[in-house]
Amino acid sequence: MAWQPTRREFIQAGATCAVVGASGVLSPAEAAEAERQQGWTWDKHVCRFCGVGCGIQVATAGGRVVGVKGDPDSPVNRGLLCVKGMNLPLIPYGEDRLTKPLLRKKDGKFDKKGDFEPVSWKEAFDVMEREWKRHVAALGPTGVAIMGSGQYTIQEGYAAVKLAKAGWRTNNIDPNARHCMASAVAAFMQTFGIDEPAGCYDDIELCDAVVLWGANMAEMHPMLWARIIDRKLSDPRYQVVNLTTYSNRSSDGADLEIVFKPNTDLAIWNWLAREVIARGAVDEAFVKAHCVFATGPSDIGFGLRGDDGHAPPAELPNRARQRAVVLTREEAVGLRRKEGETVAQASADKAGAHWLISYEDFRKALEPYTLEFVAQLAKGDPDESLESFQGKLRRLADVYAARATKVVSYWTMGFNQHTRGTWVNEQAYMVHLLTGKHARPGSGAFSLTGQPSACGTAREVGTFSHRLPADMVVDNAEHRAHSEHLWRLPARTLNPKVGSHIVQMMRDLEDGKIRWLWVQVTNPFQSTANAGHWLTAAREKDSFIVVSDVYPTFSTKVADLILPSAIIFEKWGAYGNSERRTQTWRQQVDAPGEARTDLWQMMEFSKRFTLAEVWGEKSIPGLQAEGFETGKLPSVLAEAAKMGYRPDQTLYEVLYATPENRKLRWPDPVARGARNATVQAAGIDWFPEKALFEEYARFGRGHGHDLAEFDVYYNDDVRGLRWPVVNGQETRWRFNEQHDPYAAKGSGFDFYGKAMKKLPTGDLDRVTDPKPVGLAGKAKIFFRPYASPPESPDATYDLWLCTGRVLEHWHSGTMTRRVPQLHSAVPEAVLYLHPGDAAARNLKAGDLAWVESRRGKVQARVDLTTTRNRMPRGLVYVPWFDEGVLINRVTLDATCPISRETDYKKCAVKVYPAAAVARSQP
Amino acid sequence: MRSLLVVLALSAGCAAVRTAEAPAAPIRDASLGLAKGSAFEVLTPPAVAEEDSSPGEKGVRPRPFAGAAPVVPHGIQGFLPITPKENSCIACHGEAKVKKAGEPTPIPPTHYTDYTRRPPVAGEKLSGARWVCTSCHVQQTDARPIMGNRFGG
Repeated sequence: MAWQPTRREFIQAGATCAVVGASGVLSPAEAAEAERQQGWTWDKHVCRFCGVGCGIQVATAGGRVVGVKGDPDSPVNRGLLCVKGMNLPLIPYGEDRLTKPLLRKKDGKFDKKGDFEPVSWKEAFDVMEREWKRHVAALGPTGVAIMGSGQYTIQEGYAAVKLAKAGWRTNNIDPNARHCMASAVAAFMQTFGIDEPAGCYDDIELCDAVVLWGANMAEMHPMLWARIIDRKLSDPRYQVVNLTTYSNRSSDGADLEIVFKPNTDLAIWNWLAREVIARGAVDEAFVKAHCVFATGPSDIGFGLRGDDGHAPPAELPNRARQRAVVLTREEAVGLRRKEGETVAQASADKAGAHWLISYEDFRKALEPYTLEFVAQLAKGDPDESLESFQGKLRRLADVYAARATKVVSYWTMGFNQHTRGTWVNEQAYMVHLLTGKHARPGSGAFSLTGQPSACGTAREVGTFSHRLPADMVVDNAEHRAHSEHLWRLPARTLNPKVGSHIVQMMRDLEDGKIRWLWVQVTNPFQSTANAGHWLTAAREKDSFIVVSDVYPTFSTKVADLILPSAIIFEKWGAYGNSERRTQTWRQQVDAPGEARTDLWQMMEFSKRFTLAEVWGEKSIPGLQAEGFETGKLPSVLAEAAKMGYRPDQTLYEVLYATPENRKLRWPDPVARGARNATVQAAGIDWFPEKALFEEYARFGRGHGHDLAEFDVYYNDDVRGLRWPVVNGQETRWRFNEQHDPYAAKGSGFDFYGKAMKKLPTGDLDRVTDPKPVGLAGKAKIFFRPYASPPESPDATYDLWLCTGRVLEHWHSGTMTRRVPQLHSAVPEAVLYLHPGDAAARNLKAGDLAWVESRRGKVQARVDLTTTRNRMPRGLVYVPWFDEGVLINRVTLDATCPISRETDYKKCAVKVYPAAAVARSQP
Repeated sequence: MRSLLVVLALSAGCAAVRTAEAPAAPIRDASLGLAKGSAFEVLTPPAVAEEDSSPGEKGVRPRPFAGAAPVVPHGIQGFLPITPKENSCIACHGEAKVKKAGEPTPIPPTHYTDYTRRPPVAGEKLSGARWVCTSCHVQQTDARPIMGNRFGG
């Protein structure tokens, strides 16, 4: 293209893959640097940050990480890295790395009101064990919990699930991925009966159009965005559409930007479906052969607490809305009911229920979602004309309705963090299935993950409170039996009662129902909405909170015990990215001081529990399941004895150092001389990361989740593999007979997921025939109505607040803010707002403002620049990475009632100048 | 705060020595982390200023390691947004030459290489995947580091 300069004189043989040098000829300094690099050792590795899963080459020298480059052989990022990935070598080296356990003490012993003192690992585990046993004696196994992570390695997540569910018999383990991906998971399960995307990143190059829905890929998935822009530049007909609630950097690359009002994505999808039908664009053969129609209850609440406990008066209106909703005009239209009608939220506890409906009912349900109705409801920029907005919606419909246009819809937190997150995910499948644009090369609805192993660990391993590995669930007797078989557990060891999800864990902490908590690889007291409640609960209740991390985080401020962890380069591990790609790495360097791998921490702590202590009869409040006494888990010790276990054996021997696992010896040739911190600290001669990977892989092999053998991922020519890996071949498009060995021959497409595939039949409001109908091989096209959010701006709290990330920082900033260049680039979370909204509040750029909701307030500085986010009037944005601007004091802990994922994207706030300044941060 | 740093930042060898000495002073939770204050305090973020110098006015900033993407040493407000039709950065940085003091840092050969081909093919066009410069090259502010970093140390 004309505007791209040529560089023919610049390109010199041999210089093209050099990482050094800002020019084609090396300056003396650069030449010296190149020579220094001769001593560097390079190894393939994976980025620590987002769900894209970029491949990296990491350099070490003298026992330290010294450099990084994008792996040119990685099919994900092809040699590129974003600014976060580029700074990976610096993340282990922040000056305040935790190197010793720290325990709150007074007078030489643990005291919840004490200050932190360094202690030995032995003392740390002694107190941790004592507190665990004290609280379990009082409350049973549900009195303890683990908050895990989508940043766990696969092996760490697997070890944690096994410890909690098989060892302690509590299902109170849930990852931060609940905040990030749960809605995507629920929609995958409900629509396809199996988790994770059909397609893969290859679709970016194969499609004709990409549509972003609540996914600011330019900042949040920058290396996928690079691929989209690459395509866009090489083919002007390639279309990029950005649906968003405010203008952002993805808008800069888009052909069409549609700014919609929060929550109205629900209505836009219904208009699209209606329009697809009206234009005759339904792929009837595909729908007839592979799909059914379904719906579910709409009176499902907002995942808020319905009781008034612990609620200051300001929070009571939202609590009331959890119990009953007065329909707005727009909701009434969409539900074919009357405005102002009070609807008890009677289905809040069975929000995921659904049933088959006829195609006629499906069409009838879409009927109210006309262009006029939807445009009026959804237009998000008050300064845009209705005609302009309608025109944009029509162009959007053109993309989906044109038979020949291959289209991929991408979404992330805009959909998932939504009080109707499961619904809006399902609506994306609705339009893609109606048009037959799914599970085909270049066409599909694709849920992007936020975290590096939200897929690989949180979902595939199953570190959720309801899950077991490979999509199995704890409240399914067959799944429990299968897991007990693979784990060599006595029958009825596993607890059939779903545990507390991560938001519920905080509420349980507040209620005194959970009193011992282990936080691993996450920062929940910064990341959980309505933070004020949980901070108070953490410090005021009789509880014991353990936080394992590499740095002192905001969560460590409210911890009782802080355990120093190894960072990614200091341990072995594996992650699974958004496109089902499993990638592994070797340990590169040693952790500082007494910092230990999270895996070692779990293995070592498991030695503190004998079978006699954990496998006896246990009280589980509320447990009701076939084959179990109400409220009780049976003693399985007699059965265990028959299986050859002794009551004095520890969980370490039974869960981890099993005879089979110990056969996988350390050292292993795959290491090529690399060290293993877990092995060294444990003083063992077997290879836990390999053993646990292989043990875990047995759950998925033959069940559509097949992983290759551990060693295969370490081959020089492998850059991760997308599961299912069958006969050495990865799978790019699942459910598509031509690409997926699990799709039945002759089917064309086979949506073979097994969950929720027997449904009753009904009309749009209720079940009319409870007789289950089998749906083998089918996907469901859901009708989901528009619903208003639980809290919208009013006269007092007159602005929408949206929160999220920025390009330069990862999550709560604990790693990236310790990198000087990244910190300098974005030193603090600012308040993005429309210049008109600022002026109306006497605020200028750089002014200090209060951002206040019914729950709390923070101070942030006003940003009116236009190079990142451009807000429409009525909506403000504050990133959440900054513990100094703890925006989750302000956000609302409403969740999708099906997925239990928090809606961080909308609540009501007021903004006003901060006249009096409390005190400055140093 | 100082006691925290002393305790937390010690390397392996020093830590062992330190434990043998008199017990370190207790660490208050308010001193932990990047925001100094208790978990219950609402803090005031400091005022910071974005770099707003003109290109060339200030020298390039050092990179932490060879191959690291350089930060942008000048203001970029006026050069954004980067769109598929417009990229103001390449007007200066796209010119191929050996960099001399005061001249814009030229875009390196890696950025003209098509890594989607195996093996990668060096070309004459800037790779479209490198088009959005701000994904990797970020502007700076006058904010001081919030925490020291011992990379390379």
